[in-house]
Amino acid sequence: MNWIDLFHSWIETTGPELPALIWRRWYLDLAWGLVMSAFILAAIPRRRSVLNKTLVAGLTLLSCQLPGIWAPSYWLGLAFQAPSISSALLAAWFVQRKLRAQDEEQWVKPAVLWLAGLGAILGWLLLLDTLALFPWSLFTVGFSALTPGLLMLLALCPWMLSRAMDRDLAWAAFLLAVMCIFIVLRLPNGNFWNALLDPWLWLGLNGIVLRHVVRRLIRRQKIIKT
Amino acid sequence: MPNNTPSAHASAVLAMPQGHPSAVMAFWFAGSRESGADVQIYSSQFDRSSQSWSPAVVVVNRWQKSGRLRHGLRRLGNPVAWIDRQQRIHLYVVATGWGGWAASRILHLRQVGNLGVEPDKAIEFQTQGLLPLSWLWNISHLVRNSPLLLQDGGMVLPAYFELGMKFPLALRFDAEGDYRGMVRISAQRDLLQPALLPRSPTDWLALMRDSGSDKRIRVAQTRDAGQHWEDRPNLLLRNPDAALATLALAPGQLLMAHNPRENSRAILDLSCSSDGLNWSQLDSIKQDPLGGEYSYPALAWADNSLWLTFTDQRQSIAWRRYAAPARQEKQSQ
Repeated sequence: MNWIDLFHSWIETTGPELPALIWRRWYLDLAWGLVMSAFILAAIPRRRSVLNKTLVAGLTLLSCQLPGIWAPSYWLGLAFQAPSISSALLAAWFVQRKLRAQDEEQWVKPAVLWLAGLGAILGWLLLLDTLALFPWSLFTVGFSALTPGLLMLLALCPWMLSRAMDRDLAWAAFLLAVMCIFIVLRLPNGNFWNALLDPWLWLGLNGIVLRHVVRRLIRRQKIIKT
Repeated sequence: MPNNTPSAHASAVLAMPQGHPSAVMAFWFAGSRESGADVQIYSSQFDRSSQSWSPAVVVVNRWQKSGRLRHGLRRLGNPVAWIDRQQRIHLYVVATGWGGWAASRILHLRQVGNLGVEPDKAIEFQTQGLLPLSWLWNISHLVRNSPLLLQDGGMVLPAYFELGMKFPLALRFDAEGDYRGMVRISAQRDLLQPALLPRSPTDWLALMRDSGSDKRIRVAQTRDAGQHWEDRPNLLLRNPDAALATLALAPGQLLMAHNPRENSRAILDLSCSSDGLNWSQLDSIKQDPLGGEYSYPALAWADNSLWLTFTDQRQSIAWRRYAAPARQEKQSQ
């Protein structure tokens, strides 16, 4: 294979590699189990013991292994398919923090805002693409072998170019983990956009960006008044 | 029709290979009502020796098929069938999530075994998965018409999107039935259910149902075997926002079954054309002076005959066989 053929194989979108059905099934249960656990733990009062929280998280994960209609993932999958790898990893990270009873920290750092902004913009583009409002198809680019690497490079640029890198290495590692899991397993459906961002996560990112913008506006108003 | 299925709709007819006991195989969805919880995909085969249809059997049950996916399928509809290079039948079925048809996804099933081995054995389908066609929970993609066969053994499956706006798509599959990507057929926003019509190996037309105000059969064309499409002027033929079916018998011998009235599905015609743009009526397949419905035709060529199936009053699937050249031979329901 010469360099031109190799490059063509990276950018071509006509040979999507879809994950095996068995992997999709396994991922659907696990990912929804993690997301549900995260939401339930978020709703549980802090004072509950670690044992109680572990029990709740474990039972929630197990509930997604129940057969057929008894599993919550059966109904969530019916409506929303599988969560993105990003959502599943974020949920796993949140669950482990809760189970280790680590202190809440101010996690809306500049790095998170940057990623949230990028994710929100990407989601809007994908939504408009779904409605065929572009002359080309952005979704099919998600099947290209080159897309994960290029996107990660773009997202990591700020860390590489700034001194923030040492402080926010966790988020860089998170993005790399999403990319690696996708490249190896092609989950959840063979398209990188679905691995990176699902519509619920996108709505959440919009919320983060909106909250930040509103707070800044309020702060600016206060400064002007004083 | 099987018992307890007062509603039936959207048939597909598949030409079976030479040497198989059946000439054609028909698929359709039926149940208590369209979008009913009990709707299943049924199938029947036309036996070459007895010259009769086999009793209808269920080939896709949503409860069984959702088991392999690990998530639910709410409603089933619009089966489309194709035979791959290994003589395996592939079925593409519309399966809805929460919501109506606009929340549909395309379920891909494949025959267990193939048609060459034990041809008398009952055909069983195994779920392959949902086709990944959009970022937004993968919703609102449907199929209706039969695929266009490619020289490499693969095929192009016409599909469409219908959440708010309606636009047509062409999905490409290789000879093994593996998904190979999609291309939008038209930039218009009110077109659905494309029927592909090859005029040469690279020059194809897509004739489409019109959900807009024009009430004409809409057209798009590709000259590079589906890589790029461009809109063409509407046909003179009218379309009452109803499905149509096309078949290319040979270059310059093109057929179309369609409802020719602007506001009614009471008449179903068979038309012919040499270029796919200018059509003349070949036969009036069915007419209902009381304004009933004969719709959703499907066409196939087998045993030197044209086979036509269509929905009869949304209650049953009717069929006709035209022996070449275009002579009606038999009719039954």
